[in-house]
Amino acid sequence: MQSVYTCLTQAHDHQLIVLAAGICIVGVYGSFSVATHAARSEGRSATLWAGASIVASGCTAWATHMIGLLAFRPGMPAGFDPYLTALSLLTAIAGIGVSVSLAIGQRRRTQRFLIGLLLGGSIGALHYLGEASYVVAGAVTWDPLLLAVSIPTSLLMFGMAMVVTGERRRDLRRTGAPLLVAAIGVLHFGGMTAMTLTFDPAILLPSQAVPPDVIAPIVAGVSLGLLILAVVGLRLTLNARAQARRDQERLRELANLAVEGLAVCDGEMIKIGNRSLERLVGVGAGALSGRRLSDLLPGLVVSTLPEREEREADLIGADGQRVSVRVLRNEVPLGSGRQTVLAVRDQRERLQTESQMRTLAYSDGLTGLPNRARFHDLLTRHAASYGVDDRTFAILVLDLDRFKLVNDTLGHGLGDTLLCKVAQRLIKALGERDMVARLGGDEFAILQVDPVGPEAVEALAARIVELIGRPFLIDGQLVNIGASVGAALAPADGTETSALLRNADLALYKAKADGKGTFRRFEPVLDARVQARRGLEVDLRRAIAVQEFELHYQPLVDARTGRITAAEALVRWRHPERGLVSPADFIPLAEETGLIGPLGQWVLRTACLQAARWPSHIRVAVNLSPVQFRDLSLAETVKAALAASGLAADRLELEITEGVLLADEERTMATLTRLRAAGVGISMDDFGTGYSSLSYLRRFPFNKLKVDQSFVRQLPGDPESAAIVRAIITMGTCLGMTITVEGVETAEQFAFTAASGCDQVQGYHISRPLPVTEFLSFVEAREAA
Amino acid sequence: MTEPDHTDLFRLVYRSRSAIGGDAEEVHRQVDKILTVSRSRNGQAGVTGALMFTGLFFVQALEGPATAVEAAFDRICCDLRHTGIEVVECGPVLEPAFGEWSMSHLVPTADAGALLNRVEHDTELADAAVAAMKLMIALIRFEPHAIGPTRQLVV
Repeated sequence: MQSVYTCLTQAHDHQLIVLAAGICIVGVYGSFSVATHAARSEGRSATLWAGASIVASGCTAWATHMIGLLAFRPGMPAGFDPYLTALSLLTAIAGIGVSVSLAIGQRRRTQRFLIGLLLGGSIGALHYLGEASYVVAGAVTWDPLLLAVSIPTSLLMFGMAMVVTGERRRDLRRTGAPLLVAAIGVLHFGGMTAMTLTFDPAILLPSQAVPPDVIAPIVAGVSLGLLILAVVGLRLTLNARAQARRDQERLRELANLAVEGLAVCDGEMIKIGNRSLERLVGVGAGALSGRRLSDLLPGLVVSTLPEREEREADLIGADGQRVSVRVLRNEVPLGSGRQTVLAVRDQRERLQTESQMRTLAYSDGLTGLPNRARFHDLLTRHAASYGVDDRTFAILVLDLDRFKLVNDTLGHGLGDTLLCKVAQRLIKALGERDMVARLGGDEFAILQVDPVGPEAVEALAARIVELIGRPFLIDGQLVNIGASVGAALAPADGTETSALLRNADLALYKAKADGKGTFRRFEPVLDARVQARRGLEVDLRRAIAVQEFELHYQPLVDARTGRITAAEALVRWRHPERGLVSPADFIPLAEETGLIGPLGQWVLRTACLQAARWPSHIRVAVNLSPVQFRDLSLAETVKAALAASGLAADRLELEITEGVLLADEERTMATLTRLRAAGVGISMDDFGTGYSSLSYLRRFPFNKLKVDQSFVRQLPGDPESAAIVRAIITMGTCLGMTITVEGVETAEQFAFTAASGCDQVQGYHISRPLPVTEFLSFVEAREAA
Repeated sequence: MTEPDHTDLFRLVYRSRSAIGGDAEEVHRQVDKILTVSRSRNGQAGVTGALMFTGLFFVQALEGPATAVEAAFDRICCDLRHTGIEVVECGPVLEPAFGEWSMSHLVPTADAGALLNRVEHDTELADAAVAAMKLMIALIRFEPHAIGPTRQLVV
């Protein structure tokens, strides 16, 4: 070792040694940076830069070596063999070129180690060829031991250097260049120290030997070239770094533009998070870098997340609030390698929209109560769970009495307010777990959960009737409505949703029929009644189609002369099984179902046709239902019936009740006026009952008043009835109307009415209603009498 | 505009039958509770008036802006502690008749005599109402400035 030290301190020119080291570092740096640039480049320029890098590495090794030789002060004349010197340079370039091209992409360590040995060998060849080119005026002897140590050592170091430069770990990779420099140093100084030069004047320098003074500028030129290359390399590196920085900046800007939160992750660690993610978490710019993913998304293991498949997760914000998110993992090539990018999508808005949509779909927009769909849904669930836990429940349906009237007279705006207030009161009537829904219009339904027997249902219904029956104050106006409630209890009144609802509805109809503002529970008899009605309705339709009806006529006689002046047509239904059905049993049903239209037309036409064949002084009276008056073409229908039968218009009387006048007054008035204009007589039927507003008599063009039979029944014994009948007769006569007294059954009644000044009498005392042939016989007999 | 604005003054008076169960003490406690809630709620909304409890009937007068009276009456009509609510008077008025206090509590004694008797027993609403109004206004006018929100006035 002593000799190595002496070699360094005494035998070498120190400044030149430092220069050699400097050139070596500069050259290595230049070669590496150019090589890196070659790796970044593509195509031809990559090959060119790679070639330049290889030539530069060879030149570096050679120049270092040559400066080392020039630094050697053997103390005797020395020179360089030009051929060997050139050969050493070529060897270096070729050896390095081959080793580097072999080393590219070589991942296996043993291969790399072998390549390192090859590189070492070529550098070694350079060195010993160089030394061989170094000729002195003396003898050259070698220290075999030093050679045996220094050559394998440096070869090993070359091998190691090549192994570490291919490693993944950056810190290991960084030791490559120093190791290489050290290997070169060991090779060079080991070789130089092993060489002993003994001055021998007898040995002359070969004639072709070039003196150091000539070689030195060449070496200097090569060194300068290396220096320039290093500057170029530095420039390239700086450019590349700036480009990389720009790329990264652009990438970050792009990421910040994304609406989704993005995080570039290194395993569990966040490297960068974009602005959206920062906002989502609620932290400032850059605060996400270095945070652990598990802090943000607890319970989510990124490595087990399948790629390109969204997962629901909860993100913990800076304020500790949980935010519903969907997470998508993506492996993407970013810069030098593939990286994990986590996309985090905020779900709050979507979830909110969904919940809003659900609310809209399942609630009533006006009152905010659940709607029909929601009610049915809940009811179905209850009905299904009844089978499991046997818990009872009740359905109450209600509608508002007089709501239509309020809505029509006070306006829809007020009607809407009223419905909202009704909803508020219904909520107050409910038990804690009960639910009220608005089914539509003024219809509400309540699901009562676990009522303790029918009494609890009744109590709830009573509360509802009480609360809704109270006055409502809306915009300074007091509004009074009521509630009719029908209820069905599961399981007594059914367990199926549809059956329960239907039965509750039936109970509601019953409540309404029984005078409104009241509560009825379903009973099986209601169902039976409905079934019977439905049967009757089917029958009625058929009867109209096959014309099972016939008209009977009840004569009206002149109270003074006893002559028949008119007959009231009364419809009868000759049912094939039930026989004659009373009009009281089917007319209301016909009115409800609208079948009164075709039936009424038939009656009108038939009555006109039959009356046309009667003696011309006998008129015919036909009853019109309020429902028929809703038909705008009623006047035309009457005229058509008259025209078809040939009956004179003044022989037809139409009898209407007060019900006709209660509905749309203007339209009724117009129809009546048109009928009067056509010459048809109009009679007010059943006068004296109902409202019997006297103003009707002034406003509507009646020809005749028919005193209701309820007054006649008490005649002549009851002085009040007698007074009323007399008063009506007087009043009617004064108004220029004909007066008919109906329901006259006895001779006393007939005598009384005749004496009171009544014009016409109708009733069993004269005749019951007769089929048309019997009626005609009756007329004949009467005329003959 | 510092004067109180009475242009939107609305008055509603109703009579109802108490549905509060329990002994006299419990009834008393409930009525006190009703008054407390009524005062705090109506006070905020600018509704004044008087509540009279005869032991069987409530008669209450509400005065204030129409919308506030409507809201107060809505709450009253949602209350199941009374039944048979009948509105005695309802409409805009020019002057308040029941003072500026949030809700006076009037407890008539037997001395109120015939009027009280009519409030409780007249089947005709109109007659009972007139009697109730007379009685209430008499109670208020007796000592108009001494009626505090918590003081019970006895005649």
